[in-house]
Amino acid sequence: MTAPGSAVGFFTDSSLCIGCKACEVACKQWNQLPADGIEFTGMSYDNTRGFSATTWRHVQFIEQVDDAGAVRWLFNSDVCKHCADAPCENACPTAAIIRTEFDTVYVQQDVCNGCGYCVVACPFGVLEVESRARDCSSLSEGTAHKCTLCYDRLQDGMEPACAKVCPTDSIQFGDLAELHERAKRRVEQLRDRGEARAQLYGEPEGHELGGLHSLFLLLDEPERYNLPRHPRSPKRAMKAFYLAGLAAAIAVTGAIGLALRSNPA
Amino acid sequence: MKGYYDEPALKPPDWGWSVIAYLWLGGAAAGAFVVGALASLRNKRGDDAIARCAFGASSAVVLLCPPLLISHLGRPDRFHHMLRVFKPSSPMNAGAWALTGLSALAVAGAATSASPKLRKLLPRKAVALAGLPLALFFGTYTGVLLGHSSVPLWAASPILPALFACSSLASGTALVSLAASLTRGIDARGRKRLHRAERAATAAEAVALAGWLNQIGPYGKPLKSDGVRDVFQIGAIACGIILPMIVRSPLPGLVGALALRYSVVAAGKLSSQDQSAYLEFTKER
Repeated sequence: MTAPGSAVGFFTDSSLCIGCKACEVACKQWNQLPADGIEFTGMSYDNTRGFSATTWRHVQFIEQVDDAGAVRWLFNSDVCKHCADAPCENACPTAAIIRTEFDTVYVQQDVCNGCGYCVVACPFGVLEVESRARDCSSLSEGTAHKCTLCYDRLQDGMEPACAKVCPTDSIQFGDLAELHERAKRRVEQLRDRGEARAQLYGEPEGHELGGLHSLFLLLDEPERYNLPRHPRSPKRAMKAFYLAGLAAAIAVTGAIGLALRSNPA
Repeated sequence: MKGYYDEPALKPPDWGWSVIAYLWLGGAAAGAFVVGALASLRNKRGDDAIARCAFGASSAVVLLCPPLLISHLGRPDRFHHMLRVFKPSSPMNAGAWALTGLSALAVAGAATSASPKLRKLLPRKAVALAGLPLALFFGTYTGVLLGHSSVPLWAASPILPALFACSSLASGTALVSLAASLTRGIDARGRKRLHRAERAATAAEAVALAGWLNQIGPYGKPLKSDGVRDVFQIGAIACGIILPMIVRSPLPGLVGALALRYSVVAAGKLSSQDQSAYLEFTKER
């Protein structure tokens, strides 16, 4: 199932999620990530809030009341998107962030020096540099962390811990092309059944990041899940930024040269 | 459209005072090198004193940069990993190489200024020619580095690196003036020439700043928030742009450049935590 050289990924079908957080727990157990402490946020049953250096799956709880007073409750297990053209990988100055033989995005903990550039490059707020102040003896201290797509398990032919444990198969792991087919069929099925807002998130067509290797089936607009509708690739504008900056630098150097030439009395 | 509760959609940069100080001093060192290179290439009356002062100041300040950068790393012992690859697609990697190269050339510029013997082996003009493009890159790339991110305030307009480039050249010229008044190494005429140069660069900086603020539009809102507003308006604009036009002292320009770097970094942090700004920023393709 996980032969090196093949592209794998997640398909998270939020219509099947029951908000049990088994994925969060399995992720922490397998990856030996410490608990973050308990804080009641008042955000429905979400006391996780979001990703951190030590939280790589995040189950969202969205309570909606429509105009007619009907209530619906959306769940979704969010995760690193393993972008086809990953901004974190482009930004990483040490090349600690690599694409693995499974076409996933992985932070090599023995190379990362904790500069934090991937943190601001990521369009999804996934990465975090683990603070040295926190007691996380199981992690390499001071480096950037995120979902590894269970790189260690893939190398042994096993599926990621979150997908393995998910009791409803909301989190599906497999060959990316196959997941795309499955996701498309599932959206059509849901729409036929009247779920008009069902939509896929992360398809490669026209996607600035070349598509996501973590696909999501959402039951509302992406923004409701804090997902950017059209995530931008920071590298898109890099040439324009360099050109504008260097043009100004050259012009002002010329002006300084002229000012230095003038001979004040 | 309202997002997920009030949770930010992005993680904030964990860059603090040492990175801000680096952006400031690195820019000034690059600007001072440019002044030194221009003076040594022209090499007419009074230029040698300016070049000497400029390369001295540039080399002293550029050598403060590596420790500042290293201290902000999560793993300072791995600072050299920055140079384990050459990766121009990462502005931070490109900057690490540029810093390495410029440090060497600024020291070479200062050394050849001090020793005529050395100048026979290594002409100062060669150092100036080799370092000039590197210094221009080094004064500019920091704006590209911030722009190459998901933070709306930083990524919204390519004028940001132009603003940083102008500010680097203006503060670099001020740094040379400061070194001149501390060492009395440049005569009154030379100091007047330097001040003219600083005013020219500051005028360009004013234009770039106006253009940048105009282009980022609503994403510039964090610049008006408490804690940033005063530093930006009083520090970066009044002290950094208006005062150098009136007063002949290098200090306001240098302080203003620091205030500008602080404002842009601090406002960027706030921008990353503004959920609705980010969801709006990514609404259109």
